Amino acid sequence: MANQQAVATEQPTPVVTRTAEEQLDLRKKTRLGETVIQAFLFFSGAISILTSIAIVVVLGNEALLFFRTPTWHEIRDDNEKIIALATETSIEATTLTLPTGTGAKVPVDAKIRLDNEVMRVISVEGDIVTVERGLEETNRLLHPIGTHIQEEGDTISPIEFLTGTKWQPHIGQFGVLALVSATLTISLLAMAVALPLGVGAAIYLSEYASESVRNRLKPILEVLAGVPTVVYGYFALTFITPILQGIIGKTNLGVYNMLSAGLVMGIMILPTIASMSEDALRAVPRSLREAAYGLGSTKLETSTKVVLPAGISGIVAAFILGISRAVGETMIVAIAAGARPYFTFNPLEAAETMTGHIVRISTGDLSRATIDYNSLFAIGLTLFVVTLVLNIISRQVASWLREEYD
Amino acid sequence: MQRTRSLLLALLAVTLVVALVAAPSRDTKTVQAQESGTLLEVAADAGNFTTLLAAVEAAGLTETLNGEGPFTIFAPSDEVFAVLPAETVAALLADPALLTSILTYHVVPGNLLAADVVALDGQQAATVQGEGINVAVVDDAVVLDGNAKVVTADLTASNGVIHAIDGILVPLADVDPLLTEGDIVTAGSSTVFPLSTAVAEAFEASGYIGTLTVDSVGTGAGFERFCLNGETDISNASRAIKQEEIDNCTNIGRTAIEFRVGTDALAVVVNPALECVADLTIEQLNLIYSATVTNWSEINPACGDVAISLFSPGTDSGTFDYFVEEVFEADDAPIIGANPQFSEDDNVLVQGVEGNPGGIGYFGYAYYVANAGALKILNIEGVEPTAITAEDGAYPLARPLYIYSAAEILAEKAQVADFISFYLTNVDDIIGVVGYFPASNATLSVAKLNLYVALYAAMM
Repeated sequence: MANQQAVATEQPTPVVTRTAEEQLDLRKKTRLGETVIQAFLFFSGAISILTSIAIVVVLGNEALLFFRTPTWHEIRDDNEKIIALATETSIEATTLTLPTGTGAKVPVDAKIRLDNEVMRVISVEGDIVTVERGLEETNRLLHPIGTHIQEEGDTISPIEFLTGTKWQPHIGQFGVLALVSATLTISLLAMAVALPLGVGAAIYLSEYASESVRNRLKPILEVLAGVPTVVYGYFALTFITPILQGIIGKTNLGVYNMLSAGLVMGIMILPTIASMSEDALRAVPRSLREAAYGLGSTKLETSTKVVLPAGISGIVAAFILGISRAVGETMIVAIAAGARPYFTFNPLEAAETMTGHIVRISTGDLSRATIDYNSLFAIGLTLFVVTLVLNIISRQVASWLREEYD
Repeated sequence: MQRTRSLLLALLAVTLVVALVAAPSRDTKTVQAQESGTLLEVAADAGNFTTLLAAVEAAGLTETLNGEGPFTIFAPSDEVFAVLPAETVAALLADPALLTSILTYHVVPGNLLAADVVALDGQQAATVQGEGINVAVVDDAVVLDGNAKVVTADLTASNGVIHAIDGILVPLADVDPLLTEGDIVTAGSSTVFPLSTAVAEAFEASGYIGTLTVDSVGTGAGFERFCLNGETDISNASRAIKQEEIDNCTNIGRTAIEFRVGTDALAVVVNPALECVADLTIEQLNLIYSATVTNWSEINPACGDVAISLFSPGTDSGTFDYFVEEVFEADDAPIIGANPQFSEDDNVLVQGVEGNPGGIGYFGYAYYVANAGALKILNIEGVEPTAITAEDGAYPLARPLYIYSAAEILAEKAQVADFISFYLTNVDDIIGVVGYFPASNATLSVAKLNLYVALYAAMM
């Protein structure tokens, strides 16, 4: 006993004495690898959001400039003829000589512009205009005979921008509807082609095609999505348009028209819609199909009345993506749709979309601080808003259509 | 003031040095030998060398040319001097040594009669100035340095012979593209683009190994790159530079120099299906392009009901500016308001006119030549665009084509000077193939003179 005690005393059971932390460390361990990955994932998310914000800010800023910059337009006489210098104005001269009988048209104490030089009109006597030269830090320049006199006009009103139907910034027409109409017409045409065909293809692939057929067809469909849009553009111009002209008649359909661009754009979007819709349809639980068959439905009824409604949210997502691509698509419309802003919803006409216009006026070099340059941003912002609105509407529609089966 | 003016006038006369070496041609008119007097007396008798004689007088070469000799003078006539712009004259007058070097380049020691010059075909004739003149016999005419043709041969004098020529000879050294180093950046007019590209290809084929870019962006945009951003060495233009652009150039320290390289007859084309239209007046063009008239039946009832589709080069292009100038008195509002289809790419216009039964468009003649089968070209005011009507101005829409560079660039970049020299020497051989028309010898020699003056100034 004593021995036992001694043993017990001398050799106590080894109690694991740990500090609280050692016993149970519930704090997060710093794992370097995971932190890096987490940071990278956050960065990936942040960069796309920040880029979007930056684009909107830049667009907004520059577009604001567009609405704030005063426009200049040529002063015209009673016969609508431009008033131009009757004699050369040297760098030193403080008077301008105008053609007989036109002096009265020049506003006194207002700003005028010749070439790039801004002047203030001090007085007008007959056809001699006395001016203060080189205003607003512009250089005094020599102005040859025939130089047009421009007067300062109003700034561009947002109302005019949003409701006008003529777009020619060079001559003071700023109605963006001329461009929006073509964008909408072509996008709707494209969706009219892509949606039924795309959903049809999706139903076939997901419900009817055998596994081996499906495995072969789907990659081919997706290859179609990888064709560069410039190729589609020339396909529209040199293949589809002549066929359409053969059907409709050359007198009714010019070589550049919205119809051809819209149809080909539909073909371009089709694989996106088909592929995404097919994924959505296949994700519909098998039990739903079995239940439908069990109730005596035919395959067609099952596909269209059970599977399709169940997968509608995925199809709407495909639609959103498709229409966003259609609205933003550039090369096809730049090549095939024509090169004039024209307010019309007639697909047989040639008209320019917002993207097509941007690409055309910026292919010649574009100088900063011109009305064309600023207008690009206003159009860009409009494009952004149109896409956003279409997205919001589509989502809303999706939520109405959605059927919960869980 | 008065004195300066008379001095200027005298110097102006001097400007054009006498051409001395004679290169008569087999089919030029041979004037009866006149042994009556010295070279200068013979020239004075001929009556159309007054500018040249005044120049000789002003340069102090009278004594030499009245001396023993014998000399052969290639003499540009008064009409040649008439095309010289005032700035060129002023530059020459400002520097007697320059004037002398040009004048003496027209004089070859020895008495070379027409037959002697013809015998020099393919060789050089050494001038008093030092450089040799390239002599060639083309189509039975003697052509000197590629752009001065002997028009009247063998005006013989006691101390030599005079051959009248239709251009000014400029003592530019021959360019060897093999020895040219460094890159050349050019941009501008889509009209001049095919021409500049063809010359650039010839330059490269002759051995140039640098990078030569030719961008087709439109005349206005080209001048922007050249005068505002200073990105390019040469600017192609289908209209003359505007005052505004000259000022921009001055602001970045560039003195623009103009080189006229050819002539374009602006082609107005319609769809070939429009058999009812063969000729339009400027007034009708105005009505059509302002959309005052929108159906071809209003132009000619025989056309039937065909809507007019308008195509036009973009507002950045010199072709557009030129068209507006000629047809709309420089007011672009009507044509822009008519909302035609604009494109800076002339091929888009070609396709548009070709594909629309009522299509009408306009662009440089070269684009018509390249697509002649698909388009129908119209006469304007009853005049057909041809080399002759473009040259003599009978065709109302004939216009000059230019390239521009700057004195500072030429001084700094030898390759640019080489290329322009090559351009001016060879453009007449190339331009016809491209589809434009050569400028007159006198006009082309002005371009060469501009280049020489700039290079001479840079050397000093």
